[in-house]
Amino acid sequence: MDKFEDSNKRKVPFKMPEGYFNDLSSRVMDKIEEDEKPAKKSIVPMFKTFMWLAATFVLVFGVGRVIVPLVIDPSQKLQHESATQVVVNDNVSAEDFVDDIDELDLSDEDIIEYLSDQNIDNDFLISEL
Amino acid sequence: MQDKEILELFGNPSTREKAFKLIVDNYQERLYWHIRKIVLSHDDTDDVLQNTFVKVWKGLKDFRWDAGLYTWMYRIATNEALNHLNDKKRRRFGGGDDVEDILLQNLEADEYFDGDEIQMQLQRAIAKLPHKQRIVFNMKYFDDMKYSDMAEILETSVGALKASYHHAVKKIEETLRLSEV
Repeated sequence: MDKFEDSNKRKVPFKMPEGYFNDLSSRVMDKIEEDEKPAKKSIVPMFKTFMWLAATFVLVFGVGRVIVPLVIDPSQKLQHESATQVVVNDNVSAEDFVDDIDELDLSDEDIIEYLSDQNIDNDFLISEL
Repeated sequence: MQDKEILELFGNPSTREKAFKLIVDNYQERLYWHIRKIVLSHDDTDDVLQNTFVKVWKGLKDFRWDAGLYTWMYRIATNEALNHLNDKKRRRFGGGDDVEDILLQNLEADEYFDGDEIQMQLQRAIAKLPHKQRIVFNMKYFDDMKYSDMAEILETSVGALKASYHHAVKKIEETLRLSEV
């Protein structure tokens, strides 16, 4: 420490921008005024909450739809993929779609049972048979 | 004008702002240098000093003369400076950097450093000290402040401050000795 004992070396080796203190009190007052303004309600926190809820829903729904059936019965994976392949493909023509349905080998009873679950008017169903 | 008179002005809403400007004018330079020695860079000091005065504005309404105005503001400035460094540490990659790293970066990057290589070595050695020892060392070594005044600001005993200063000097000497090898 000897070389630092020289009193000149005890000077703080920093400087500041010229005129720094000239407007400090005004800048502080501006900051205080800004600080004391009532905070505006931002939609960002609401949006964030919404996004969290949406993400949670997607996650829970995804787990329910994909992972749980696989854990319970792995054979469902095949059924799920077949159904998705038939229904979700955007480029399927009406003819191809009917052919694909035929390949599923559904009986009339299967179709009626499915449609009756869809809350469709019974008279309409019977007239279409 | 004495602090007590200024505070009386501050108590009156019509002269509050005028009184506050007097306080800023009276103490800005001393508080600036106190903060600057803790955070090292001018830009960080500017932020901390403004925050300090904002806190002073908010706290003055409830100020009691348990401590002098200057002592009270010094405490606020010290806390603000340390909080600033800790916040900066937290914001960087989840707190991966030490405060020491932040201080060394501040030191190297500061365009307002105005010393020679020996003074830079000393500042690097001071940056390695724990917070309390660093503050005590700065107050004693650069400001030559009385231990009794320091004890009031830092709310600790004179004996503890002397011990802190002694440890700080030993550590700095060791750091400097190793850097010369």
